[in-house]
Amino acid sequence: MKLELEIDGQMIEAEFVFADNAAQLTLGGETHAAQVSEPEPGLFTVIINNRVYRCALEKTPSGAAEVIVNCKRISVAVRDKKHLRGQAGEGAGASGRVSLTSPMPGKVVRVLLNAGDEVAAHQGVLVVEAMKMQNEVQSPKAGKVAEIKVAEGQTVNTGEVLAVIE
Amino acid sequence: MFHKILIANRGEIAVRLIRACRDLGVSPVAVYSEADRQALHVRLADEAYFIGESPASQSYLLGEKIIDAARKSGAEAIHPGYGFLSEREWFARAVTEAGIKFIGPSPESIEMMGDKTNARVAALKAGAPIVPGTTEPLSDEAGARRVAAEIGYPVMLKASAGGGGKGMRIVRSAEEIGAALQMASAEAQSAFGDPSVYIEKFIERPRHIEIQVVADEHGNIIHLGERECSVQRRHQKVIEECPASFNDPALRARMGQAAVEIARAADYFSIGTMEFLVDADRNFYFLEMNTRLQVEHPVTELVTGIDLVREQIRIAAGEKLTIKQEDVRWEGSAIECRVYAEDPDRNFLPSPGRITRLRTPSGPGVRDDSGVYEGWEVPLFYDPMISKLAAWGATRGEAIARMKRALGEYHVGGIRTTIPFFLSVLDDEEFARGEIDTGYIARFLERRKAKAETQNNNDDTQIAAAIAAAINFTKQSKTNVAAAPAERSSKWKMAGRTAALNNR
Repeated sequence: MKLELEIDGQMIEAEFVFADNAAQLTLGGETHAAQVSEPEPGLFTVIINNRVYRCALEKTPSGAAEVIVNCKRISVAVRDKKHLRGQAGEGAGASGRVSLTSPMPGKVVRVLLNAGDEVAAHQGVLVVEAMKMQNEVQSPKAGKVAEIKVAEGQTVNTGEVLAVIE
Repeated sequence: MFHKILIANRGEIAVRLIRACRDLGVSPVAVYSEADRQALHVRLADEAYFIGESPASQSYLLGEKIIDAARKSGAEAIHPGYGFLSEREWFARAVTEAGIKFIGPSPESIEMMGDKTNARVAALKAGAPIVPGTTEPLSDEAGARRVAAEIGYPVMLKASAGGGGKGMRIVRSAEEIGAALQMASAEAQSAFGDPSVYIEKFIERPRHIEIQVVADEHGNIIHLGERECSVQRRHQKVIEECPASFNDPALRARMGQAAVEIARAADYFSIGTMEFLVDADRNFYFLEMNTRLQVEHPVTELVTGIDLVREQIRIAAGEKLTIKQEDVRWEGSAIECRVYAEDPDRNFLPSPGRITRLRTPSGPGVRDDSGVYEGWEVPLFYDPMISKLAAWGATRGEAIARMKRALGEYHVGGIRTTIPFFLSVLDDEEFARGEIDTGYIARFLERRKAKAETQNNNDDTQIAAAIAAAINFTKQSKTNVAAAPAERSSKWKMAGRTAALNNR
């Protein structure tokens, strides 16, 4: 099966074969063989060259897939080359309109910029509070604030669009 | 001993208190808010009373509702835990006036020691050192020079009206003081409209060391030694140890004695903690007192073998201390990590949500004081701490190794936690050498940032991750196809039957 993988932000094409607990992943001309079991749903034991990797499938707050391997987080998006089906990676890239979403359920305590304001990359746009902690939501790129969609004091959910940068 | 105790708290500490009740054969009574209907502490209690809406101000901070619940349940005592109402003098008084025992110090002690200025007065009365200086504004340069010479350089000039670092200057020698005073004064004037500046001893790279005291209502007071709490992020303790990494029994005895004298000067009973700053030359200065059970009490319990909550309840029941100072022994070394629902990769952003998977560590020397379970949704209304993981070893190195092992076994799915952050701190050489002070975490994070840019995964971690994700992806594809329209599913069924026949 031909797959398109995005591992920690790097796109790579791969050939994948899996049968009878044996997996073969070929990427960059190199084939990696592994013994795999899934002792509990979503928990994989992957053995490569007799080394044990404990892998747990997880989702990031924004819905992208990631795998925790021996306490390290690796983001992995998998797409089928034929069907073009699969999970998209995190973030919408640095061009065009970008929506700033709330990283957690909470309350908007401050709106730092107004629609029409210039914004620098990593500049704070709003402050959301949860669990007694205030957190700045920053713009991923330089541009202009196209829209502020929430007001101070408003309660928001994870993934709710707070502002749009263009 | 009491028959029934109401626990006026939630989360891991409520669970810890319920366990102490069970150990003493006391029936535990819980209270809960809307968000905590399914909380672990409710599930573990004998009785549970609903006290209001999710925000703490409409539930866990409502003293009257809690006292009402105690009356209804027939509880003879209320344990406030830490946080919430634990250091509110009015609550201790209201509980007492309702004819219920408050498990903690007297309202008068809370009032006196809860105020920093009063606490400093009590410390001075007891002959304990406080950070030298004067809160009187300096009159002129000559005056500043005189006070600085008295307390010794380096000193810190601070704006009387101030805060936030404005109008603050470190002065390392008499030559610098004139210019520094002028600048601090000018800064204070422009920031606060008041040029007054006062002077305090500047403590370089201080350690935050606290002493646990235990006192009964009959005048017996002992100390259980120190806890090292220097590893802090945003003034929040994250890793605590007992004994301190510089392990110095002579210093422990001196600080312990000072803490006992302060407690005596305040007519203190119950358990309590004196916080000190310790400088590089091992001089110590009293900071403030916490008139309650501390979050980090397990490290003292692991090293002394004394159950602090049990002692606290026994003291409230009017019993005398059964341990004498000379009987207190410190065995080995203990360390605690506060596991927070925060994302260390994104500047410790809170990460509330459902815990989809929970595997807790076990094995020799490991203790997990948790307040959650698999399937529980961590609410966003309260403190983000979900558990305290503690490890004991014969030496500090052994305790750290066990902690690393335990953190490696700890798996929390669905939300982000500070577990990976602790693993990297415990791998840090400065931490291993015990070179820690209150500025340690800030320095560590800077170093880690620099290191991350040069680091690469040189093993097959990414390959393993890709394989797990790919298997999951192919499984999902199959399920999707199986759930497709009927005419296609029958073909799959046929194929499956054929395969089954072929495999015979």
